Amino acid sequence: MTQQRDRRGFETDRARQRPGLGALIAMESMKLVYRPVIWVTLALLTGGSSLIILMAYLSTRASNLDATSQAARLQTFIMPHGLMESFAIVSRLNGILLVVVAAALIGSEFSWGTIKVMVSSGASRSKLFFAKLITLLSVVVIFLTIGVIAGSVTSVIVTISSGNTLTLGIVNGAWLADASMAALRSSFVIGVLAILAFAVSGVTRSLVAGVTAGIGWIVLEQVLHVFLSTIGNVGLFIDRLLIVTNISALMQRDGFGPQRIEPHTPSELAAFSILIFYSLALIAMAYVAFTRRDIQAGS
Amino acid sequence: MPSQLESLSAASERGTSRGATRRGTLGADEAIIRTIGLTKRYGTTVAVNELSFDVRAGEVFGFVGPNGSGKSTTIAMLLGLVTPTSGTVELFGLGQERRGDSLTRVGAVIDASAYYPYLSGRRNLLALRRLHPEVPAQRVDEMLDLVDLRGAANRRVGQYSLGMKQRLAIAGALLHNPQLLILDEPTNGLDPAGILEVRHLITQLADLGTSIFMSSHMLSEVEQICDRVAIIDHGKIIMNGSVAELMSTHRQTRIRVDKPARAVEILRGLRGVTEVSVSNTRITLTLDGVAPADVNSLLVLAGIRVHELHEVTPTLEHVFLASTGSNEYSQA
Repeated sequence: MTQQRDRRGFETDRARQRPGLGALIAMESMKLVYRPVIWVTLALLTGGSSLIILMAYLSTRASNLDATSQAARLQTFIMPHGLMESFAIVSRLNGILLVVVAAALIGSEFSWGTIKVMVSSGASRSKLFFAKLITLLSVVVIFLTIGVIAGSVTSVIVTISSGNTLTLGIVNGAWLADASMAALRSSFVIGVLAILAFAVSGVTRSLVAGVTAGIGWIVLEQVLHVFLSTIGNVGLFIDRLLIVTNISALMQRDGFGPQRIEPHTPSELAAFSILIFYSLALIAMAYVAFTRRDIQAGS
Repeated sequence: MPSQLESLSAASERGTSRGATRRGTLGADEAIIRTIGLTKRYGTTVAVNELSFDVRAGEVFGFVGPNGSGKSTTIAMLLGLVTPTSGTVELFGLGQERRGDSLTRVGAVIDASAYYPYLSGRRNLLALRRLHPEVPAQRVDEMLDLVDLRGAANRRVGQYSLGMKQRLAIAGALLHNPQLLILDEPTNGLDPAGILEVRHLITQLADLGTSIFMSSHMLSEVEQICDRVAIIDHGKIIMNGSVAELMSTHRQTRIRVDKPARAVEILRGLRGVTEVSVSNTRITLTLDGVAPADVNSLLVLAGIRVHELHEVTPTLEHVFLASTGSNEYSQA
């Protein structure tokens, strides 16, 4: 290293650098790649999405439905609709599975004490926070992609084995637009749930709290949703502010062509805006907690 | 090992004697760590109270105190983990606003278990390397060799013993060739062989010019390694100085006589005898401005036979216990 001295005589050593955002993202990615929970989650996701499509298809085939109803139900799992079904399944699975990854990304650093090593190295707390957040959102997109591919491959197998024709003729501009929107909606929805777990874990400095919040919050809102729908307009108004309601509003719009939307469902713009608000509020809360609070070094 | 340590040295000149040349280069009042009125309150509890001390470049500075005295909180404030309630901390002459820059020159061992248990020792260091972009990849293996962990480098850290984790922590702290090493209980949990290794390593690093700030409960170790020591209790520094200075403040004279009761009566009335304690026929005195030979003469003139007279230089442990309020010295 080139060593120079400042006016006080200390070596300034200009080659010493604080890590940039890119280096920190690389560090977070490396830690995740070797972390068993990532691969377990990915296996559950790919296995789960494939299995659900396969089992749902087989159970529909074996059901006592009349031929017309059965054919209509089976269409859900056969390409091209199998792609949308994959998005729906993966979004639900990811919403649960990635909560663990999201909470672990920040909560584990406090339980292991490694956050002290990182902060005392001179790395900016802001950059550490955003490196983790960016890594998390990247995992969301990657897992969604892999999960949908796994589900779609299963759907292709089901399509061919059921004697249906698999053709690329249906792939046109509208099809691509619908598929792209489904991908964006799914990524966004999973991202919101992951941010929830990440933020709670960051504020509480606990992996368990993050996982509990990520899963428990959704369960609680679903119970609340049922209750609110029975108490008139006030209930409906509050219901429109719930995360699950707005997630459902977006997911209902996934599909090829116009979709049937349930009554009292928020508009896509409203749902997106409310979820963005939740996300930003959670991120802001976690950011302040991460960058401002003391990190005690032992007793 | 010496060649590996030399490559770690932050000294710009080789073969410098510990402390002196650095102090001469930087000026007598240049401090690598300086705290002024450092205070940390948690509600009504004052964990650190108006702490002011300097650590000079090139020295090994010991920071000792009982459990709960504020050592770890002080270290946390030095490392930017905890924000002081008031007061200032300067590292390398840089204040709070430049803390990130100054910390790039600092290596710290504050928690030996602060590693990713699912990663191997090598991968943990590779991950740490990302925090210091200027560190070349081969430094990881050099550090593993330095702390004798090359053989276990590919095992998960979760399978390491406490001693191995401590050594890995030291390797991590040295990875980026720091100019200042901050160690919080570096020998905690180590067996005697491990303690000796760490002590040897610290001494060698200090001889090569690395400044070291070390908190420890093992006073014998601090006494052997450190140039200067600060004793902290209830968040305040109660003694601060070189090891020799601190020990001289509690130097004692021990005598054995045939008539201890009579001797004690005489001695307690003598100006310059500040403390007298008796155990059987052995009397321990703390003298201030009176020579032991004068005490001997006085007792002999009073008809008391003096069988034994010698000066006792207390250990740092004695000084620590006396300073923090423990009322018994261990028998020499």
